[in-house]
Amino acid sequence: MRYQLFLGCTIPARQSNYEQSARKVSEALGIELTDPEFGCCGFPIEPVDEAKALAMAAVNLKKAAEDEAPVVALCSACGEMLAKAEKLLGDEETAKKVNTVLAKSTGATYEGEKPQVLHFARMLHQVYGLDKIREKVKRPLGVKVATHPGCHYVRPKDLFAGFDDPEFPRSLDELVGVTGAESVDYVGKTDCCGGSLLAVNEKVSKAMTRKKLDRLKGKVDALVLICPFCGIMYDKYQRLLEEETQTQYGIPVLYYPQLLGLALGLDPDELGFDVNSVPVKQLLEKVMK
Amino acid sequence: MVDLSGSDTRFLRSLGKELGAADLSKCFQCGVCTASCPVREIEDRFNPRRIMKLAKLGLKDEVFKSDFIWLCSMCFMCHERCPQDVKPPDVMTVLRNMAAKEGKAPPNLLKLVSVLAENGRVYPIDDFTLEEREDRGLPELEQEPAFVKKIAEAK
Amino acid sequence: MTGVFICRCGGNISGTVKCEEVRDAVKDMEGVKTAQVTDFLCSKPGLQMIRNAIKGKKLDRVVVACCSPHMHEKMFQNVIEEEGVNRYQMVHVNLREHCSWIHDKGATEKAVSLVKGGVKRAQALEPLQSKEVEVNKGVMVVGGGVAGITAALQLSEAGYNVNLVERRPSIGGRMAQLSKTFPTLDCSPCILSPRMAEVGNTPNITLYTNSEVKELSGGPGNFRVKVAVRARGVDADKCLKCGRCSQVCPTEVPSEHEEGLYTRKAIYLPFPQAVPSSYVVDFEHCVGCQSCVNACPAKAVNLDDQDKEIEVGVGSIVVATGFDLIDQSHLKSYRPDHPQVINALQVERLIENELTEGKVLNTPSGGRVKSLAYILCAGSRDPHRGVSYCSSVCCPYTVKQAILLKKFLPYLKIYIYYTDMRMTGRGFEDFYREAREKEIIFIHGKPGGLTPLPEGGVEIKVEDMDTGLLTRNVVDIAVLSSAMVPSKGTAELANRLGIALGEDLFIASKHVKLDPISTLKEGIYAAGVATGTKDIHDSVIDARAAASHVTNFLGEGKLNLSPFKPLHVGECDHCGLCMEVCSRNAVKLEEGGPVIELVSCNGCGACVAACEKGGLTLPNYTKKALLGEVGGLLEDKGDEVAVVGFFDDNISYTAADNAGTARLHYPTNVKIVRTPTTAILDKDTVMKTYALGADGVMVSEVEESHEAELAHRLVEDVKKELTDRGLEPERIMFQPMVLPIFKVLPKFITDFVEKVKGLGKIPEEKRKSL
Repeated sequence: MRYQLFLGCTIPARQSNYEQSARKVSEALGIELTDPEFGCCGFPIEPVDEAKALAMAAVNLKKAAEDEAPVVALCSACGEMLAKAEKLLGDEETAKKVNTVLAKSTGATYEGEKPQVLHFARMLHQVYGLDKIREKVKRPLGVKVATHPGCHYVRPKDLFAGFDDPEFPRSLDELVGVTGAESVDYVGKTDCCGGSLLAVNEKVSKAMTRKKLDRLKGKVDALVLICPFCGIMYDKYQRLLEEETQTQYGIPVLYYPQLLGLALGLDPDELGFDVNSVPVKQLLEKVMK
Repeated sequence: MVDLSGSDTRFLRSLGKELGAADLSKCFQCGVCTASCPVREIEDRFNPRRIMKLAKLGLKDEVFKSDFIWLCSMCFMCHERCPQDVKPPDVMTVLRNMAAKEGKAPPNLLKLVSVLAENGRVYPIDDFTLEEREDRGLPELEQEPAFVKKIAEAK
Repeated sequence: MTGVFICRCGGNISGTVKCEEVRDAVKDMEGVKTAQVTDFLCSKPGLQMIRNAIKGKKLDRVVVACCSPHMHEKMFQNVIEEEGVNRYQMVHVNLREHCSWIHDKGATEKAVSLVKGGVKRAQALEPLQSKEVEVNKGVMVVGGGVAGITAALQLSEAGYNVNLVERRPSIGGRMAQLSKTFPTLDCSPCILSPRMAEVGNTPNITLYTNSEVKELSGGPGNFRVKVAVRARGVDADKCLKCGRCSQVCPTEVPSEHEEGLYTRKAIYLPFPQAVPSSYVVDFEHCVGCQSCVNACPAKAVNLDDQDKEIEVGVGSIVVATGFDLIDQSHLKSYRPDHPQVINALQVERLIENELTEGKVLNTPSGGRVKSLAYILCAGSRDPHRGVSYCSSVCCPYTVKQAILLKKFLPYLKIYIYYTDMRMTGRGFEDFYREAREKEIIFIHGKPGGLTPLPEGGVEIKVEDMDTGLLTRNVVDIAVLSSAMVPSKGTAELANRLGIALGEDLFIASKHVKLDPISTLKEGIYAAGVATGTKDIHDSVIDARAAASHVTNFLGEGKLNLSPFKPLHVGECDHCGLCMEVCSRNAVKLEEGGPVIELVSCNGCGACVAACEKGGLTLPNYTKKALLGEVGGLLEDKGDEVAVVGFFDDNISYTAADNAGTARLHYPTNVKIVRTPTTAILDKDTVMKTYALGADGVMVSEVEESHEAELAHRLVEDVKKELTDRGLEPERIMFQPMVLPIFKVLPKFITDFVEKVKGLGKIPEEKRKSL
């Protein structure tokens, strides 16, 4: 199995733990990842200039189409943006608008390229298969975690037809389940992390993040997620929120490949835990026992 | 008091053109979008239902006021639940693009375009980061993707 | 001598069609004695114009060019008959639904073609006589709810023999499940029970419960219906209703009458007022232990009772099959799987079983229910995940239930979450005020979902639009006032009876305003929620109207059969093709040739097309008449491609009418020819259509019908023929049609026209060779 890896902008700059653990886990599972020269997917500027955003996505799609291997995205926003661009570019008017932008910038032309684009977790769940993962688990994790599926992993529904449920997503919980960890059910699982509002209104953004942390305080050993922006909000901002609210959360925030990596028996030092903000020492001790 | 006879028909027409107005016009103000909105719970200034109505009435100034339409986190829960398939996030994107063209967008977001034009990345990657990647055994990266810069700086 | 009368229809036609130009284009056609234009052809002065022309110009055939024949055809026929012209020597051209309402540019040119087609068809018509037959004065009512019961009683009072077929083991339907009715809070079983008992006691009502309609044959006035009667397992005459069988029965299953809130045994009494008043065996769940047989003091239980199939002959049928609540999988966001989320029918059962007994309501965990919330429009007005229509009765029944609950449990906090309060019936607005006076809390907003909390209770988050406040509430029970859909099996029943469904999947009316009770098949009527959501009051009105219709239809016991039934002309070599192709067993081959059983025959024309010797003909739908019309339609050759659409009268033509009424658009290249069914067409007729000038042919027929199969085969044959002659097979297409999708018919037509445009006109030399 070979996939082209789409990293996006956030991961290489700020959340290399996600990338490192994803690569290590792929290696262990026998999944080959290649690295074409992709660029920003366009998601951040969609609100102010959709045509340019789609143009960026289009160039990435063209690049991906040069290789027949499907694309896996680690970031949910990138995954959604690329899938959405593919759909919107199917409309003649939209394609024309985007090609106008391309003509006066890179000179490329989008010609209807439609490579397959999947979220990394979707690939593991739907293509690689839970049973195959379970076979390779060497160290079943006896921990209790909460999953944060996030928004752009399963919504809008028409971009992810045939996969999971937009309102009651279960695939991430099932992926957690094969590691031996227990995924707890909790009110507000589908709440948005607020990450995309960070640039617009930090106060609201942090308040949205805080809601889930308040709910999960003291109830779980870790929060598991699959998008770097959610990661930045729940992990990097957790200490700040603790100070602002005078609360102790102490909830380690793991990317799914980090969790899976532990279950596959990989060396924790290779899973990027040094990048995690919230200390994971206690969790690792519990797991390694 | 708002004068409905002053509703902006040009605004409505461009809105209709961008959207295929059919979707917005189907809104019958049931409020499911606002009831499902994670931002509304935190900030009562933000109200998707209200935005749909104001847009439908062509009240451009109300719609473009301050950060009213910029607080949508694009979680798509309203898109999932709206009984009339109005697709509020799509409406939000169109309204935002229109406002941005008039310069009425949060400066931080407008800045992102220039960041991309300069660096080809939302978060610039400095040499230190490149070294760190090497240490971690991660493959090389294009520091400043050219096509991103070109597109971002296009006029 | 033909007279042509063109209607302006008060601007509806003359708005886009220049009627005077049409008149001038046809007035000098061969055989046309006069061509006139008027404002409203259907009005008294309009009709007088026709009368005067018939008398003055000694006309023997008439062409009316106005609205759809499905509107006023009979009326025009009556008028010309009064003036001495045979009613079947009239052609009714559709200039409105098929022309002026569809087209802008080119409407006049198309109107000219349509009228020319009509004139040419008129010239080929023969005077015909309808045949009088005796009708069967029996009636079948399908569905034993309040509408079915009302129709059955009214008809039996009028002297008809009624066969009431009900799927469940007892009649009563939904009304038997209700506690009180709005707005008077009358006791539902109390007012229904006497009517049910009357049904049971009326000698000329034969009750078939546990039964379903399986097959229909014959024709209007003489239907033959096969009914599957499931075994009851208990002799209803012997049953004492002592209940001992139920006591000893080991099997418990959820009770249908109680909407799953309580259980019943595998041998059970549906409910106390059941009619027939008898226990019944649920053979699906019976384990065969025979305990009931032994326990029964009257020896009424017979576990060897067999299912039967019977055939009933009736002249007319009333469909009153009612509704179900929408399947809860459509309402996932509201968590109907959770024990503290229930639906409104279940609340009715709770009221009847618990509150009238003086009990209080408890939550599953045992605590007293102190708060309750209704979610209105759950699944209704929701084309995204439910049904697009409003279910009409949820607002009034929710208010009713709230008022009742408050009566029994004054401490109960009741919230009603609404989008719009629709309280339109008589007395409803006062009822709404009473609810507000009883301090039932109305919140103007619809929740996106319901969240059962781990600590108990159901959380509801909603923006109350009146105050603009985002509100949060935790209640013990949430009630979904969910959408009503046609009861399970309605679509299959409609298919078996040969009646159509509307876009909303309820049974389609002949005309939504002027004839809401007739279905698209003569002699079959529909009443109650089967034709759309409504309350008991309106269902009863429907039922009485249906009974009136039946009375008129069966009237004196005689019926005029349409004369458009095949006639045997010419030789017969007994090849049997005509018999083979008839789906109604209406053709019998005798020594002298085929004999048509006129009642069962529905005039589809299949036998006529099948006979290779031309031994059968369909009066006034002869090849001469059909090709005459086609020739007239294609006479004016322009630069554009010409497409002829052969549409079956019942469904495809009606779909095209509906598309016209909805003011949808398609190109003027298409001219529609009305056929009884497209089965009348044979390969020769279609090839000659190309020869006369068509560049494309569209055959539209009722989906999945016998006629559709024949049409499909015909289209394949023609494709082969076209290819053999060096023409493109894409020049013909088969379009299956059902009424609910009429809105996409314009798209199918437009797509086909575009395709034919791409192929271009048929070259002249090729056309001559056809």
